[in-house]
Amino acid sequence: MSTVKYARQSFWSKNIAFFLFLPAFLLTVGILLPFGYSVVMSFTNFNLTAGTSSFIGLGNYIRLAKDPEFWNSLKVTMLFTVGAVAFEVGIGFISAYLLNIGLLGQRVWRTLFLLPIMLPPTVAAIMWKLMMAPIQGVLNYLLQLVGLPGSEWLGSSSTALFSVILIDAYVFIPFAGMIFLAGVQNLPKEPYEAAAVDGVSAWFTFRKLTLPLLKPIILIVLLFRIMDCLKHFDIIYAATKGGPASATMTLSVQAYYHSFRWTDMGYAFAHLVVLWAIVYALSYFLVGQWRKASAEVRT
Amino acid sequence: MRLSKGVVLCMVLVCFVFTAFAFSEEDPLAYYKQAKINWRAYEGEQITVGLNKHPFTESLRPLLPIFEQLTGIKVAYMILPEEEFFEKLLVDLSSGGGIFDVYMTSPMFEWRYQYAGWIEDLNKYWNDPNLTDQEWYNRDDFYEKPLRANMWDGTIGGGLGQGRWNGIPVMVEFFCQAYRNDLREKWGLTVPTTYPELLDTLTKAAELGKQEKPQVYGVANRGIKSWSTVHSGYFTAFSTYGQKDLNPDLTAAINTPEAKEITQIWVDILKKAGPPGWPNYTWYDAKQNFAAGRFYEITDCDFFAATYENPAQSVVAGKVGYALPPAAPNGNITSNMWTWSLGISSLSRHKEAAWLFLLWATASQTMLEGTLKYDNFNPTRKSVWEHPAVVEKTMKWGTRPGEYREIVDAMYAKYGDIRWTPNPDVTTLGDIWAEALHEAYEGKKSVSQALDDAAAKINELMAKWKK
Repeated sequence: MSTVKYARQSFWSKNIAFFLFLPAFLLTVGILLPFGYSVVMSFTNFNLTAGTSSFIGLGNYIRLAKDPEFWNSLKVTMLFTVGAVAFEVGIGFISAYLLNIGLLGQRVWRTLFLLPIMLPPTVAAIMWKLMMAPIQGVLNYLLQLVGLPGSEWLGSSSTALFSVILIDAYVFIPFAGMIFLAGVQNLPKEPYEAAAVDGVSAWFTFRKLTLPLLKPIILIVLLFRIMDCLKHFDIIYAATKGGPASATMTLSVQAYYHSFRWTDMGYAFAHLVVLWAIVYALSYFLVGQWRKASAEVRT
Repeated sequence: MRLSKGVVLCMVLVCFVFTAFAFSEEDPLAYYKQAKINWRAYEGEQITVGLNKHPFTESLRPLLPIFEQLTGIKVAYMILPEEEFFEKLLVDLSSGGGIFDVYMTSPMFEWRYQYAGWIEDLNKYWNDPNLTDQEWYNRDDFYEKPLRANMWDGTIGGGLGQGRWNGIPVMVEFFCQAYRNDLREKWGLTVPTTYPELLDTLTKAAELGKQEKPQVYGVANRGIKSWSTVHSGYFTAFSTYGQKDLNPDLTAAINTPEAKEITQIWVDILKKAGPPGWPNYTWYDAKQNFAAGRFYEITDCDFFAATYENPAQSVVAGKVGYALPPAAPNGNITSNMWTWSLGISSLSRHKEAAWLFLLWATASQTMLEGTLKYDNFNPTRKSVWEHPAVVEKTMKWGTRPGEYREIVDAMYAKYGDIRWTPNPDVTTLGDIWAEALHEAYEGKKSVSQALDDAAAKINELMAKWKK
């Protein structure tokens, strides 16, 4: 009969998996706890001034459904997201190509291109607010110099949403452009060489080769920018505070009003839970599309 | 060369005289040392003051070293633009953060802070003989209106001027007409005395101003999406027409026929003569652009005159006339009133030190220096407003000597007062009301519909306070 001796395991080696997992666990709990708190408080009438915090069931959500301001905020949020993402993805994509074709001073252009994203969004908003001031702003001055009429920019409900989209695009086009540039630089050369041998046109190459190969990158950019635009707050609040006449009142700005101006925290949380649900649903869909596109590219 | 004894004696005498002058500088603390207060009782502590970006703040900052020298208490401060200041303060108070020991406040905000338990009752410190020398401080020197505006007994819908004392007023503002007298004479306009006249005059001014280079617009008015847009010139017009924000039963009163009438005039003024991009216009923009000569008139804070009349900050110095707000059809004139005050946070861990700061900052000497040297207007102490040097300075403001002073005196005596109904959600009510003005201005709704919809929301808001 043989005897097998096992070496005694130390405390650390027995529990190393747990300790390696601990930071991720703490981070997840740290994120989930405030989120869970928000969800729970969205079912209460938590008000900082009145000092109330009683359970009211679906009261806040029923109030939301009947509130025309909520539906307006939802509409503005979607319009802002579609407009901003269209600008950023479109111009970011074109910029990536231009920054990759070997222009004179390409390194300098790439550095200058990144400057806006180094600005805090609030600073960019204030900077643009000054430039867009109808009376003393430089944009109207330049327009009038070339004989064009000035605009009210952030000061009119017909132009305010477009103006905040422009500010957002100014800050985040470089973000989209840099991701696209990385994607363009990592495109495989062989398919393009084969296409050149076959004598296909540039447009056909772009449609049938470049776009499908870049689809995972495009979806990643869409994922990041859509998520960010849906919950966007700082540029809009710094520029317009959600006005004029709620023309730029997104869900997050509306939630801010209810919480930090009107102290109606329970109702503010309900706005944010709805916003979270929208962001989650869209990002779930986009991640699924990204996985599918990545698999297609690999094959 | 040997000097005579007489010459040597003269030289010694001259040296003595110069030395005496060099060492006879006035003691900046002399006034405060007269008080029977142990200023150094909290030496070594530090207080943090929350300040709004405002001319009062600019008048206080240079004087802070005097307080530190007097008390040995260090003062840190944070300055933010107005809207952001109130939001930051709300976050600090509601979260229990306690960053600020002292903060700039005003009655409309004190009604919320008092209800929520975020602001100290100053009576406790005022009545403590170990902390306060009442005779030296002379509270009776304050004008009654701004002082009592900071007192509230907590009755929702009333109770102003009684009970708790929340803040000490450091400046007061009323709302008058300030206009370019040089352009008035050039264009042959008259000073409006009714609101329909105001609409007519400002519309003409806006049209005539197009021929000026650079263009001069009709009237500057704040317009951001906030209660403060309602508060100034608009609420002055509103209350002149005998209207109130709330009925005694706390239901909205902003949509009566008379309310709609004056609101329609106001919106027409803004559309025909207001600044382009009005909904995004702050009071900082309005003041600065009027001082830059870009507007014919401004119907906002009277104390902006200190900027207009300062040639270092204004191109219209010496060209501005001042007039009371226009009257209602029945001849009634009123003005809303705003007073910035200093209050103590209930979360402060240095309340006694904070009280000493309040005593010093609102003492007669401090406020006189703030007004004379750093243009803190309008003073809330009679001794400051009637000080010969302040009188001499402000007598020159207007189209004739004493024009500006007459308006402020009339506001104190008769026309000016807080027009809002005391309740903790008054700024929320104001935000809802401002949205209605935006909707009417942008043409999204008629004035009537906008005010009716806002009234419905206000009724919903106020329902919880009726219990």
